[in-house]
Amino acid sequence: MSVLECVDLKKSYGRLQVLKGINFEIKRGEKKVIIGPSGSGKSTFLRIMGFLEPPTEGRIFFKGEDVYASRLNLNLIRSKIGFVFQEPSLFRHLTCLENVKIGLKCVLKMRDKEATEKAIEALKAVKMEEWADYYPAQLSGGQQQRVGIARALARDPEILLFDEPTASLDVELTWEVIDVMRDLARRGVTMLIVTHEIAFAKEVADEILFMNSGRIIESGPPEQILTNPRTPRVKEFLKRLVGGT
Amino acid sequence: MAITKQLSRKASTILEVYDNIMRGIPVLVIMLFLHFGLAAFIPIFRDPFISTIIALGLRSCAFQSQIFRGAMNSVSRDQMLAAVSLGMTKMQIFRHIIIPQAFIVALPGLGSEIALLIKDSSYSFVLGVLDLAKYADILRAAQKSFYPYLLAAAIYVAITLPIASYLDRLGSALKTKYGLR
Amino acid sequence: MLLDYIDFIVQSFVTTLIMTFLGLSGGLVLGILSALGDVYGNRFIRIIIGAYVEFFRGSPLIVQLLLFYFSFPVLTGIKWDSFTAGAVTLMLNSGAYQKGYFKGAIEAVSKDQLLAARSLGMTSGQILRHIVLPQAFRIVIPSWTNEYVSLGLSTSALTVIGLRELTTISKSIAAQTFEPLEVYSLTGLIYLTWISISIKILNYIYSRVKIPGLEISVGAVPS
Ligand SMILES: Nc1ncnc2c1ncn2[C@@H]1O[C@H](COP(=O)(O)OP(=O)(O)O)[C@@H](O)[C@H]1O
Ligand SMILES: [Mg+2]
Repeated sequence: MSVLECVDLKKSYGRLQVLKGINFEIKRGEKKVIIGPSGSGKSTFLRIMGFLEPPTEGRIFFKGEDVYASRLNLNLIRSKIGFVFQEPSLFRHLTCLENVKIGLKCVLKMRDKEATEKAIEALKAVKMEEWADYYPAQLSGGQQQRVGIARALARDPEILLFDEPTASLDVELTWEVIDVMRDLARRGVTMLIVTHEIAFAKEVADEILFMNSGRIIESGPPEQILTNPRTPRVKEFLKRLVGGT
Repeated sequence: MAITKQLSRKASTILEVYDNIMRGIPVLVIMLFLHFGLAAFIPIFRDPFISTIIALGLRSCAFQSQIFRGAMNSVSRDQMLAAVSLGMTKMQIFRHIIIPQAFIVALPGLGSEIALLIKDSSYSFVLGVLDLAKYADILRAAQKSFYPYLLAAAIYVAITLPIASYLDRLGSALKTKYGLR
Repeated sequence: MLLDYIDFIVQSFVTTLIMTFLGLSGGLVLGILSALGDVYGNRFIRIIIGAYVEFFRGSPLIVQLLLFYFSFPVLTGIKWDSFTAGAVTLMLNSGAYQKGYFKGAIEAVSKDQLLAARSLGMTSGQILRHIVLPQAFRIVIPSWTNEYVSLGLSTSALTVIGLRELTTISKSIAAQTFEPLEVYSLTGLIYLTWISISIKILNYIYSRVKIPGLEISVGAVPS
């Protein structure tokens, strides 16, 4: 069953068309990875699929329902989607535990005890339970990202969206975050990930999509895209990416 | 003053006390103190105009030293290190590295300080100096109308606002230009 | 002797405290509302708030007091006493300054966090209440301390509308005793002690509610 699906999705900011007609579907339990050059519209695509921004044109389905056409409650749907951002975006005035709890209490209206249990469980999943009472500024970037993942995970979302969660981290810190994501993948969580960690993508992805100036120009299983891409653009991009790291 | 503060520790304690006094007493009370309290001993304070100017000046010193101190602290450690490594003396570093940058950073603060001085000059009203506010009072008494005070306020706004916002904008423009924080 | 007047001095100082408290708390409400209006409101609201702020920040408190105490009744026909006129003017004046501090603090809450809160499904009201305001309140405390000091000292301007606060009473005692030097020294000392202790207390509060990574102060220029 498809969790998220979009048909002919377009997005413009003023006169700048960022997304130029995207068709995409992800089913329960699938893991899909998006790669592509900077500025090609990956973050915009993810924000729209997470219902953080409306599209300019096109339809988006959440579990088969056309969200904008049927005027569904967006906050309700957002609460079923977990979003992890590129910049650590923890709430600075809350401890790790409170960061994870706040969505459970405000949105899902859980009682405090229940929320605490859930939150600790989520922190355990990212191996951050010992840091529960620390504030974000006291953690490394990698630790902050792991708490961010716990925050997205705690509500048992239908799908997790990751927007380059390791792009602003040092190499070493990247691994601890990747490890957590690999763990989630093994547990069968549905994930849509923008990342340039190619080894990781190869390992977990069911499909890799290549985005270039607002279009998905190529997609397929990791082996094919990574080793034998059809388009020269993808070939060139991968060569630089591997050469660069 | 801010410079002295960085140079000598003893001077810095004295200035600190001075700062605290000036920031803890209404400027109006300082004026009253000078004009009515000290006039018997220092004749020059018999002139309300001079009392006003000196009181405002005394306080402005304290405020401006604070502004410049903050601005000088904003010059980054790296640059100081680099300057030392070039073999510059303390004075040279001050003159060529710290002051030019600090001045830019201090501009917005100076703008609001100037605006504050202009506004607070109205306190001389209480001492009986004829200024804009006092003049409006006379007009009002003469006409029993609503407008003189409003006009006085508008004139003050028309004077202070451009100065403050000009220096504020100049400050941020220069900061962006030179990449200062 | 000055001691004979101690009752008057204490009473007038209490008036000074009350006026400061009224001005600050009224200004707090006005300041937060206008900051929110300026950040989230439409063009029309922003222009109104801008005019309000520029007027009260750009003109002397003395003129504002005279305007409200003398001219307001002429315009509206409503008579009010110096206490009410003074309190209202102080609130409006302080609100204009506090608006700037709160606006800075609200904008200091990063866009990333707002997007993250949205992605959790929080409503705008919840985001304001649970994310933006708690952070803004902590960030604003240092600037707010400045505003406390500056408004507290500004209450001496109330003397122009004859309100019997510390400066007014000092003036009449000085005139009666012919000892202006002693009287104004004592007045200065009272203000100084009060302000110094208040700063200590506010700094203590700040250190108690401080959260790692949130100690940035915004635009803490005294004015
Ligand atoms: N809110 C916005 N307003 C205007 N332009 C935007 C906005 N967000 C993104 N863009 C533009 O859209 C393009 C794609 O951005 P983005 O989705 O962030 O790309 P990517 O994540 O692939 O690097 C860029 O040119 C960017 O400048
Ligand atoms: Mg991006």
